[in-house]
Amino acid sequence: MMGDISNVQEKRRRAIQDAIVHQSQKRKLIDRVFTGVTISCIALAMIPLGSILLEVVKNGTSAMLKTVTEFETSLEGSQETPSVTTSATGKGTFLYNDVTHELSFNITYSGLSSSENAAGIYRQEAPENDAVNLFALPLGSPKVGSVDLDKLRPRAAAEEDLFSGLWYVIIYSNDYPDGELRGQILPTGEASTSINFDFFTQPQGAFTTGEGGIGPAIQGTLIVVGYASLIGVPVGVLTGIYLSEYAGNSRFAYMVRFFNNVMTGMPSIVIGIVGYILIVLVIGSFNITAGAVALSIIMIPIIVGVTEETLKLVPHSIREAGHSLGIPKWRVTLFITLRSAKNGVLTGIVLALSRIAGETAPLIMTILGTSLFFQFTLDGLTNPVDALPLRIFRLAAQPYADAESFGWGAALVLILIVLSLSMALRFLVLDRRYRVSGGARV
Amino acid sequence: MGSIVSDRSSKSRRDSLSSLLLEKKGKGDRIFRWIVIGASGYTLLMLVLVTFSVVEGSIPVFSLEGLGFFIGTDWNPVEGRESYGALPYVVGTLVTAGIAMAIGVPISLGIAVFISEIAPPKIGTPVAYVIEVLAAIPSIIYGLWALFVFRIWLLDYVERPLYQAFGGTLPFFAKAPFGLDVFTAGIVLAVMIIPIISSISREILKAIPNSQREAAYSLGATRWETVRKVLFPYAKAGLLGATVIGLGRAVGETILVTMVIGNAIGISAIPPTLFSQSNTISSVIASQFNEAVAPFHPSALIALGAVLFVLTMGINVGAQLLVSRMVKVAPGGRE
Repeated sequence: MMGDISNVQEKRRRAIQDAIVHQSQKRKLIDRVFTGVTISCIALAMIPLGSILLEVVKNGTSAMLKTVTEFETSLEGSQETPSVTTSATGKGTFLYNDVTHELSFNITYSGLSSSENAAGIYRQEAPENDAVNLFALPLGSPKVGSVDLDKLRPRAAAEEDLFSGLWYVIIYSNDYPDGELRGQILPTGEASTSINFDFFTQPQGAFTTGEGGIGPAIQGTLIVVGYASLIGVPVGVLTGIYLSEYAGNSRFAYMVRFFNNVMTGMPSIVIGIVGYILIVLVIGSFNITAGAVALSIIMIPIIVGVTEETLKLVPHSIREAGHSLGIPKWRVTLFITLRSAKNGVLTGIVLALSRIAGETAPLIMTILGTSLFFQFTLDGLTNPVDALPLRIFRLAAQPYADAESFGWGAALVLILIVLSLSMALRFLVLDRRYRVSGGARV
Repeated sequence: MGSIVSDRSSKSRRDSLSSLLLEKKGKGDRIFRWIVIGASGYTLLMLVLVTFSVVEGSIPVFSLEGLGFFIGTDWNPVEGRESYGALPYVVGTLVTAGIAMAIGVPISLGIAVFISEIAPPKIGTPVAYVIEVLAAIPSIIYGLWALFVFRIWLLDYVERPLYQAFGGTLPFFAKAPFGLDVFTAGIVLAVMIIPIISSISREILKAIPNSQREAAYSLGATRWETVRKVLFPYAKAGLLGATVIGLGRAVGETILVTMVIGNAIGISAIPPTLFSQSNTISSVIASQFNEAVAPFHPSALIALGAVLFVLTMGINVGAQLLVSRMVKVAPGGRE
């Protein structure tokens, strides 16, 4: 009997032990799964980031580069079908610019049997097919000039034909009305790639040609953002000063703080309505001031919040030192407190700048967008202006491959502006942040 | 003031010092005080201006439609036959925002928990920085990417398979997908709000006193149990606030949605399936504003702006109250 009881107890103890072990294994497993899930959340967020950056850099750089490819041809009678026996020979070199889509040529020949009566660039699929005239060339030797592939539709197909050697030069003479000299235009394998500065400085050309650039958009973004910060930075910083240094816990301060926070979340398209109703309708045209006012309304709450927070971090002893010297409060605030909180305040300003540089929605209702540069005249103030985000939006709506490519280029410029602002910010606050967190440099 | 002193530099120095002293109770302070109060007043005025503008701009369409504007489903911007109703776009907004929240919130919380509770600082800090970069990318670039790259992936790898598998049985998927629809818009919106929700949630988790964690761990709780049974209940209000701020962003986001939602008009903007084209309040405004020529059309679009204003105002005020309560509850927080 005694043995049985101890046996039962033993069994029970073991069962409980097993249950505990089993449960703790189960708990550990759940914990591991949980860790895995959180890590996969990070991965899920990284995929779009990686893809966006990759696509913008890849497609954007190709929009900013121009490639000049070399072609050559040697003109011979034997290339004619049927072959022609002539003592004449010639050669030609060509340069194709993939931005302007112009093919420049320099063709020389000599020893033609009789006087030349026509010359041209032809496309021929195979010897048995008819040659299709693409461009007429000037008479005489040397022939120098250029032809524009945008005149051929679709241009992309014409480019492909040129690069795959379907184009020929044919020279006709009086004795040989079917052509005396013929030569296939072939790539030499030489190509030089360089930065297409026109992309940054020129206004947009026709969407189908892919010519011109996003100059007005870059200029417009810089001007509109600058103009907005002329309004937004002083108001934002002064309000931050008020909240931290003057307001205390008054009801007015509470309202300012609360509604600034609420404004931070206001959709930007609603803020665009302010610019439209109060400025565009009053002046009678889309204009830069409306855009700048709308953007300043977006930036102010951001600056206010950050300024107040950083000013509050300045130790009181610094202010007291100033006051004890008899310096008036406004000087203490501006030259002592604000100066020691400089980094934080700049952080807020940069944050706000990078936010408004990428805003599109309010600009649709205020500056409209244009393909012209902003003019620094009185007229310029009452005309539409362009901006990078707006340009991307308009380009993306166009059904042309060149417009899409320009859109990516503009996106790369915009992302470089925004990210360089936030990088600058990081270096600006680097010291402070790492001193606080114990030097754990990333 | 010190005119007897001959030494110029010491005189000027004394002058400036004495002027500092004399100014103490003087004009400078009063003027500066009024300047900062004026600036603060301007920030309040901004809200007044926004309110005034949306009200002023939407008066004409309300005189045309009355309150029926809110429940109307027509959208006819042809002069002489004009008729406008906001309901389909409100529905479109809620559906896209709903999809974005359903996908974005769990992922954001996962990220916040990973950075603040699981990862050592050496990993957590750079991860947090990368997530911040995601937040810095302008929404127009998300839009460009969504339109030319992501939409096509989604169509090939998610939408078509879902349609082939469930198109016949589940009404959600019962439409041949095209890529420009509420589903795409919702997912890209989710990508956009993830950095916002996760960074606020991270701050809130950090504000929980360490004693809470220590108590849970000392009882033998695993990390999952600590997060689920201690931290989440403690930070409930704040995390809800973070979510609501994300909702506000999702509801108000314009350009990105305009580019991928397919811009359906009127009653057809109420999406019967996930793969239907639709339109949100903000995307209607953005896509039609520059083409609004009929007399009431601009006003109808601004009235939609007014609806959006009220909607986001409610959401934001709620979020502010939730977040500020949380921050007041746990002052200082954990280092």
